[in-house]
Amino acid sequence: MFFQGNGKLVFKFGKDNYEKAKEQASTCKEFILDKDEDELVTCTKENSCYNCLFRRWTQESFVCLKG
Amino acid sequence: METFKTYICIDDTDEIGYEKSTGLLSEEIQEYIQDNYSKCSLITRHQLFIHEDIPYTSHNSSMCFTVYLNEVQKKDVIEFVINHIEKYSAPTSQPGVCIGFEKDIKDFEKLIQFGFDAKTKVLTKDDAYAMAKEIGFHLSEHKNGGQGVIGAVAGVALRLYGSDGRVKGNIKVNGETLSVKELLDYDSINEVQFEDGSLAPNDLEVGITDKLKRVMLKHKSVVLIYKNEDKYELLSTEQLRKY
Repeated sequence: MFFQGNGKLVFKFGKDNYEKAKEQASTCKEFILDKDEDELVTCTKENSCYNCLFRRWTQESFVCLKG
Repeated sequence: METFKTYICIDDTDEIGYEKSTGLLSEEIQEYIQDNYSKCSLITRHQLFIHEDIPYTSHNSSMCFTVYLNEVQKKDVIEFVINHIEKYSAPTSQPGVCIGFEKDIKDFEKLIQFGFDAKTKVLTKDDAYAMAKEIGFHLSEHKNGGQGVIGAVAGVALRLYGSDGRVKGNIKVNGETLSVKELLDYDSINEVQFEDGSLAPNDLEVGITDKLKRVMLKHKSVVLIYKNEDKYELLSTEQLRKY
């Protein structure tokens, strides 16, 4: 689900692939829901990398800071 | 003593995993001002440019609200905000604080353009300080590199513009549907609109299918809805991302 970009782990499906972000988070042991509710960008019924405390948005996607 | 519309904006106060987000600090500041001075506006979140040359924490947004204060109160509030930010911002953060009276802004268009630029370009601290000086606003940095001054000025600019950002927080409601009239009974909802800007009629039933969030459009706190097949529903969290 990720590629190495400048030494960082970049999600390869961009910012709008909600299914892939859920799929990835469903198996991730590091997932923590962002405490700031205003930064949640998708439903919280299932874990999603897009809502994870350790995602850092980039222009095209996000970097996983636990990678 | 005469009071004036005062903008208060902070940016870059947190770090990954830190207990207090910039939004939470804004709420604490808002609460203090309401307890000691006057009722504040809603807080808005303004999305700024995401670029590798900008040292944002995770999403690069600033938080702004307004309140009516006199000159003495403004000075007191600036002192409080600075002390609060210095005490509670994250150790590696780069906070910026921007506070001032709307009456002192001579060129609205230029300031608003600064806000637009902060959403699409990499700006510098010098740009921010020059703009703050021009509009007579307090602008200060408080830890590390102080890059948050850019977002702090931009947040003021975008709040002044009036059609940018989501309102912080959401409204807890009971029930699976509410009429537009019932939604408008909430003090913090000014209008219920479709995305094309048309107003929803009062008798329309709206499915509360997601968090009840608001966006700022034309200086109003607006709930956005859409027609999903034969029903009307709130825009989803995903649909609201672009605001």
